[in-house]
Amino acid sequence: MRIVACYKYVLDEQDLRVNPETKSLATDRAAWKISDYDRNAIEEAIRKKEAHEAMVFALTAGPAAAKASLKDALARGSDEGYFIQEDGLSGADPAVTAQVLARAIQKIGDCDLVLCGEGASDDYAQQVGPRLAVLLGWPVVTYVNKTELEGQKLVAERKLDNGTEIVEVELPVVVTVTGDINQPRIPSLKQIMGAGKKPMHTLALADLGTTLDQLKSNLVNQSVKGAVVDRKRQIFKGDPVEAVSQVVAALVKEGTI
Amino acid sequence: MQKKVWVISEQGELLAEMINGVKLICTDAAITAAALGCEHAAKIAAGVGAGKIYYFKLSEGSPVEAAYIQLAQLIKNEGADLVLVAATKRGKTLAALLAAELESGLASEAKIEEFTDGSVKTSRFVYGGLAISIDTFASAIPVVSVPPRTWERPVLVEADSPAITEIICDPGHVKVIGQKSHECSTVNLEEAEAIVTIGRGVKNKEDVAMFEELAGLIGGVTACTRPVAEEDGYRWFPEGSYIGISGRTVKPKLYFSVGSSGQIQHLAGCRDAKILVGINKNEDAPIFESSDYGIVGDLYQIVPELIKQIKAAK
Repeated sequence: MRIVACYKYVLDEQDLRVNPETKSLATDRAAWKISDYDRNAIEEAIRKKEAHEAMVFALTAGPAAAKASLKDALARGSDEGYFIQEDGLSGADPAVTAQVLARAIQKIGDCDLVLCGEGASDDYAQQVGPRLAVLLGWPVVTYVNKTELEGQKLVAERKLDNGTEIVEVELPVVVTVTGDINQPRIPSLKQIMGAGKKPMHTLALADLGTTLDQLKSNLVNQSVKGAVVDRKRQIFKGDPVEAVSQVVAALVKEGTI
Repeated sequence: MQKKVWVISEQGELLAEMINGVKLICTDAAITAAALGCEHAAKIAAGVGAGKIYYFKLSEGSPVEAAYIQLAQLIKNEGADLVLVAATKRGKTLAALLAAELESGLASEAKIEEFTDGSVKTSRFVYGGLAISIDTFASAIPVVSVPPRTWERPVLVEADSPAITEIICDPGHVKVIGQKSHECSTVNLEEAEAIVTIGRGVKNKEDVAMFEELAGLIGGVTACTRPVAEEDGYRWFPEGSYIGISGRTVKPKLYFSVGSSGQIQHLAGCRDAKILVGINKNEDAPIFESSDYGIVGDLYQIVPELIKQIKAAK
């Protein structure tokens, strides 16, 4: 069985700062990371590999800087890494990302299961999984928090707004996973050392038979600006009785209690 | 020029909200509603003023999302200036499938900022609510998924209308073999006027009672952050009742955040609270940056004192 775990390499949102005056987003101090739920996707692929015989391919597409992520993805247990390098994919429309990943999955070939996070930590558009499925002509199961492989069949539990839905589907299938499907393990030193020896493939769009111009982007970004919520920021400390009375008085004045 | 707008959902209430919203953003719209798997929803769409309604009758064991291929075909045939899908989890999946099928751009969980002749502009939060992305569309048919409660819900009226056309939905490849409801999914956080949210600073499950008392005093309900709902050792609240990105998005008049550091994943869900009160023992916790009023200290001293003083103030 061949499993692809797709991931996005993103800026750690905890490190981003908004300039309150210009509303610009300061990204210079931000570290990069494999997007949170994508780590769950990789972990789920590894768990399937541990339970069944499988090869796990970690796949990402992005600007040159994203290459550094391959080692992390391999240290987490993937057998081979695929990186589609294209600077124009930074901040790309999810439709474009999906087209690139679909071509890469076809290139990897003979895949049975594609796992993605439910959404990326940066734009959380939650589109790539379903779009990939349409492009590949496969079914998709989204927001999955439990998977069970039974031969050529996958049984999955979807976590929806008001409950859980259990579904059954024949492979191949695209699955998007939630943050609580598993607890991604921290790679051991041995795994980290071993990651460098695993096959890493860096491909260009040309290797996938396409160019950036051919990939249709239909959502055009105009701007990304810091969202500054105006808060009063009246912070009280010291004597709890006094602090509480200040806050209660303020809330009474606001008319909220 | 009259515009063709589609509103799509599996829930009648959400169709009604979107129909109401379309009337607000466009004075001359021909509204077509697609009610997925729910005849009741189709009747509500008719009752609140959709001009044309498609009721997609699902095959047994077929999930709502299976409707996307036939829906895309209908939209292609009849044309659309804008397609709105209610952004429940099913809705978001359907919207992405539909957009892929239509080769359209999709703005997920977005707000319509502009809808003029030939142009749709949307805004949406990115980086967990830290920033706002403004987008426009290059595709002929813009698709937007809209969070519930974006627009006011009108009075729900059901109508049997000749404008309802039934479509038998082809079964897809995914088969539903079971369903479980969340326990206690009756708490409607989205409609709560006041919310007390607890984070990992709360030590024991028994302590939740104290927060319920506080919530009761301010006419509200309790909720929690993601770890308290989902991590081992916690799971004190029903699944799906946490506030934040991938959880619930709320807009109460008053929001207490107790014992949560205020990571942006949490704040993304409560940024629209009118008044936010943060309580945390760490003075440097980011929650205070996002609070109108903050109290630095031990929540086990502060919350009982709050209860006492709010009782006295009433």
